[in-house]
Amino acid sequence: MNAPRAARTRAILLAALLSAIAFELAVLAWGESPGSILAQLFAGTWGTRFGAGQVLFKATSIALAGAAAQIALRAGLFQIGAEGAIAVSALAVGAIGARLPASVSPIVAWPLLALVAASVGALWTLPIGVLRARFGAHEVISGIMTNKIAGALVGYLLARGLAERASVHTAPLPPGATLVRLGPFPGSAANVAIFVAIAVVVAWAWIARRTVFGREVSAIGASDTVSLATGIAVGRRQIEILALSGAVAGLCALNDVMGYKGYAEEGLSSGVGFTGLAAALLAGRSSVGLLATALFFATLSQGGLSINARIPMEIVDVVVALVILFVAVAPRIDEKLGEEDRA
Amino acid sequence: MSRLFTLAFLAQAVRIALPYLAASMGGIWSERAGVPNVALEGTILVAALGAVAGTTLTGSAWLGLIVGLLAGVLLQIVHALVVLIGRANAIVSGLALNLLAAGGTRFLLRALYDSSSNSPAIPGLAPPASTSLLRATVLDPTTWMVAAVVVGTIVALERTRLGLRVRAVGEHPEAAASVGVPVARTRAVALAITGATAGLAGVWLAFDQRQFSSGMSGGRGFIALATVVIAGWRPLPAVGFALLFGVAEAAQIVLQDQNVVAHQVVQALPYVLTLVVLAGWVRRARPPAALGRP
Repeated sequence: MNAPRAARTRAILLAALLSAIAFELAVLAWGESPGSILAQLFAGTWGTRFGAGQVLFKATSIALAGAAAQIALRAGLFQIGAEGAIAVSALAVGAIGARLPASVSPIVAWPLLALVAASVGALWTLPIGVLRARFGAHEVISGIMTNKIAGALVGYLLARGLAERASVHTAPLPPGATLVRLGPFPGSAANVAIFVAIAVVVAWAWIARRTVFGREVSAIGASDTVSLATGIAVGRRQIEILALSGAVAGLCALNDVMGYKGYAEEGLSSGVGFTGLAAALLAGRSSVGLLATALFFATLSQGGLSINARIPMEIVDVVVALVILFVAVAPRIDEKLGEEDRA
Repeated sequence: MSRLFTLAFLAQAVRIALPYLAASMGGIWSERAGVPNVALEGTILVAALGAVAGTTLTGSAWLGLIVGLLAGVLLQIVHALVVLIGRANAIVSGLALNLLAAGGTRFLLRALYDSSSNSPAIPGLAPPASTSLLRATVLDPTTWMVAAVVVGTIVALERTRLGLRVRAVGEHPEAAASVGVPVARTRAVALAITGATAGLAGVWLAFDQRQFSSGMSGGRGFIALATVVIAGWRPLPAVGFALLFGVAEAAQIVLQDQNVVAHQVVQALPYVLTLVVLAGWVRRARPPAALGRP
């Protein structure tokens, strides 16, 4: 077990080094100094309570989307459909939340809306699992298609009555349905949904290692043909895992709708599904790793805003893309370097 | 309804379908060679910026066209390096390349034109906008390039040595290798063709809108991907479905003042159809056997 882990650590370090070099080159090409850009990026994020709060807020959604991806990856499946699940769940929470009585108590509203978020997310990704398990359709293709359908559906429903008159968003949630902001980070959108995210990430690590369900899912991820031969209901587990993954993705609505905006609108939290997948690919099976990569990507995303006046913040997207590519190819580079050492 | 049976309507439908046609041929080359390609969207985007940058830097639309195609090829060559040499998962690579293209083109847009939304206007190759839509479509050389790409793909995939090799490495790479077909090299060539053909979709888009604007691919790469799947990875049916989506969108545009169908319904059509095909006609829509396998 130690050798692959050491190889993985080497690969991650190698990827980090290559990404850092790419970042430096891009900044130098722009005519700026990498050190001072990094200092400004840091000052704009962890340097102030507001900046740190914004990072925590963004990390919450990335961690939830990341957990959704990690859950599916355990079974060897790519959950591309998280993006769509996040969009429809956010709309459902916004539309249903706005119809709750103005005096609703958080004791009723929070669990109710969390249930709405999770079940809508699960229902949305259920067809992806069914298509995969019953018809052999690749979950990536179905995921891309359902994401696009989700985007059109959300736009359609908002235009046909779910949006408040003369606006592009749902009516505001009653005060009892919004989540409590975190006191130490005044002005920022950081809210108690972050504890939900941490709980989900940790709970999945436990379920995956300690329950029969988790072990069966891990076995399917290792080899679905062997699993089938040993009597595991592979198709059924695949459907369950993609629905569970969708449920977790749907919980992003807690952070974005209940914790931040107080209503749902088109394009809210778009792209988070993919950032979450990237975080999960980097973190592997580790829950601590997932929370750390979520913080890392959130720092880059928030930091991009603080350096935008000096260098286009899109450099952050470029760096994230390169990190994913380098992490993907690093094991191979590491292997090649090892071969040369022995030669 | 009479507005649907005019030559101008036909021209509009074909124009909408042109980028789908070019990009779906690109998807077919890659996937028939066994390399999944979700990076068509990013390829369209970099080629569109390449076409505009090439045009503004050299002053020639023809050189812009070449730079645009090369930008598309470059992105797909990176895909080839990452997947074939780096042995990385092709889905991961494709998603990362889409992100790289989206962020990278916006970065370059600011670097080249100091704007976060769009480039200055370029002439393109099409006749001036004052001519009728039909004339503009027929006289546009890029229309005929897309047609050449479509015919070329249909013929080359079925009737040439390269096409046979591409299909062989996509169906059974071990068998292909055992009779001396260089698997990785054949796949790399297929991906370069994908870069040029999907890139042509981006060049067409930039020349049609006479500028580059941020995110201008607008999901066309994913519609092309849907087209590939619905068509069962075969070029001729892909032409039919690409044209069908063009007709649907054109009809929506013509009828929008009558509010017959919401544009979101037309927008979702290719994707819903893909899911239906995956569920129902799966035996007919069979992916290449070695799709995604090293």
